[in-house]
Amino acid sequence: MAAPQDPSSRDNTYILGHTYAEQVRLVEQDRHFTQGMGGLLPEQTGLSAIHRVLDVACGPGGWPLELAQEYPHIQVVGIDIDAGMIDYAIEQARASGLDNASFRVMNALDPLDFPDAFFDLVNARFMVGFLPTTTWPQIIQEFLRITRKGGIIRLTESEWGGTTTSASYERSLSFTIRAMQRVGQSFSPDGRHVGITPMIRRFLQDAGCLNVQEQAHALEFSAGTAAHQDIMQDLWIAQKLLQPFHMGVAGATQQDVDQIYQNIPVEMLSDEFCGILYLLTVWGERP
Amino acid sequence: MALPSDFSPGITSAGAEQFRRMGLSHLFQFDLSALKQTGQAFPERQDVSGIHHVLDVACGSGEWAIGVARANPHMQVVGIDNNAQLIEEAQKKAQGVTNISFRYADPFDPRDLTDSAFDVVNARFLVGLLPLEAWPTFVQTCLRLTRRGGIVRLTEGDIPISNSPALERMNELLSRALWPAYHIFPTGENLVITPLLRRLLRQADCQDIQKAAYVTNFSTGMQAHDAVMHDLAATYRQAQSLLVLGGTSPEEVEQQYQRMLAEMQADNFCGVAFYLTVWGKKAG
Repeated sequence: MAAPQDPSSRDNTYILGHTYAEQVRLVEQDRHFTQGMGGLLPEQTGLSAIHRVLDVACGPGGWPLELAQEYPHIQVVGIDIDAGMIDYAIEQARASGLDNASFRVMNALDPLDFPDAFFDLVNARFMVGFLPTTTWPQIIQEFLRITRKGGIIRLTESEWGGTTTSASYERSLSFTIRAMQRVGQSFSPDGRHVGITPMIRRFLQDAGCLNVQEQAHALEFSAGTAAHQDIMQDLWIAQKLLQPFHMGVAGATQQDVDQIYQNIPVEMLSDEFCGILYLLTVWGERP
Repeated sequence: MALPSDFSPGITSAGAEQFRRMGLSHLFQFDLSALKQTGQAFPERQDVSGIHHVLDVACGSGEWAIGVARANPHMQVVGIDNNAQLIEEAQKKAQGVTNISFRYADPFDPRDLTDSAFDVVNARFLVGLLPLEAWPTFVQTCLRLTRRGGIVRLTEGDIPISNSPALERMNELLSRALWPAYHIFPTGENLVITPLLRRLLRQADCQDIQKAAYVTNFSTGMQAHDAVMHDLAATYRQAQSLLVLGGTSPEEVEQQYQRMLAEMQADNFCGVAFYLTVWGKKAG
């Protein structure tokens, strides 16, 4: 599915669309991100008091499945708008014999079908890929409703795509960011960034969360680092999936997107290639 | 898109000349707020008892070095810079601190410092002082001054990200102005120094290279807000002559500057800055 051009659409607003390729890509991406961040909940102490966890927009379930595997005492629920992703996650849970992971199709932009104060921790990562800027405050309120008193809301976001020495990749990023601005998913005043990282702490504070804290992570994928080949592959597949978005919304031509798609692997496989992605995790307690 | 394979020794290129003319000091010092709050000069390390001799290269007016000396009485800290005025300022600030000294020396070629004298050679936020092609030689110089098994430690930042249109515009003008000296910034819209640090250490044969990422949140209401705002104000005041190089009129730059100051003080101002420390051991 291509990204919608109507920012008010309540349907699927995820800019990479929902395809089998995206499913596979997200499984891999989850693995790298978790590894690069040093664990599933690297900053959280006191995990023994956490029994019920929700992962919002979980995609094919990489993060919740790993959480369920690592912490048998935790019941984890994953929700995603896409039935294909959820089927995949359910299948994976079954194949791994995990009875503490469950998955449901749910649109994160709608009221969530969970009782008040149900979860000890609500986790949401990379919502900027589908969430219109104006919707953030209301979605955080909904997270608070389903979190118990003293429970944790945890958000992780990055400035889209990172910083690299590949000219073609940077060009593609500028199309992505321009398009995100046009569909109302960018906070940046001038469209040079997505501008989400400065905002997430403010969202939690404005919603009344207590003890709001933050932690940065850097994911390196330069030539010669362990993640280089895998992340390059991941970003290259993402390019293909972003083409309709770049052409439909950012005004890129077929020639633009073809050129980018051809040149990225050449530039990223060079021994001189350097790239880094900063991630920001912000968490706070429900009052 | 990549480092040129034929690095010229020394700082000789046209890019370097332009850098000299800029006369910038440190571009952004996002680590100072955390240092002030926690007293941890080496937050990536649990145990600093093995660190006795620390050199801070291009120390500027010495805030970081003084912070380290104050928090770690067992360390001897030396700061060097080739800006006599800043060294004087640093010496004044350090009055009463006994385990620190500041010296006037070429930070990129300090010939009168002995080899292998330091446990840690530290360099931070040099992107506005050192053109790309000068970095490999600089890292070699750092290694010369480090004892075997000692640490070379580099810290650089990305351009800060905020919801202030004027600050974003100033950031853009700055990265465009630095572009000729950092010709690998593919678009001139971002600084691309932090991804390069690991490779610089690796190419200098450092061992056991590691990294740590940090964020300074300088939104209104945060502890770091005032300090970072003043740092940005000073940096952009100093860089104003540089920002017009891309063809923007001095009037527009001044107007943006004033707007930036106002926007950073607004209640709804949000800003973060990521920075990265990369360190490696001298082989031996």
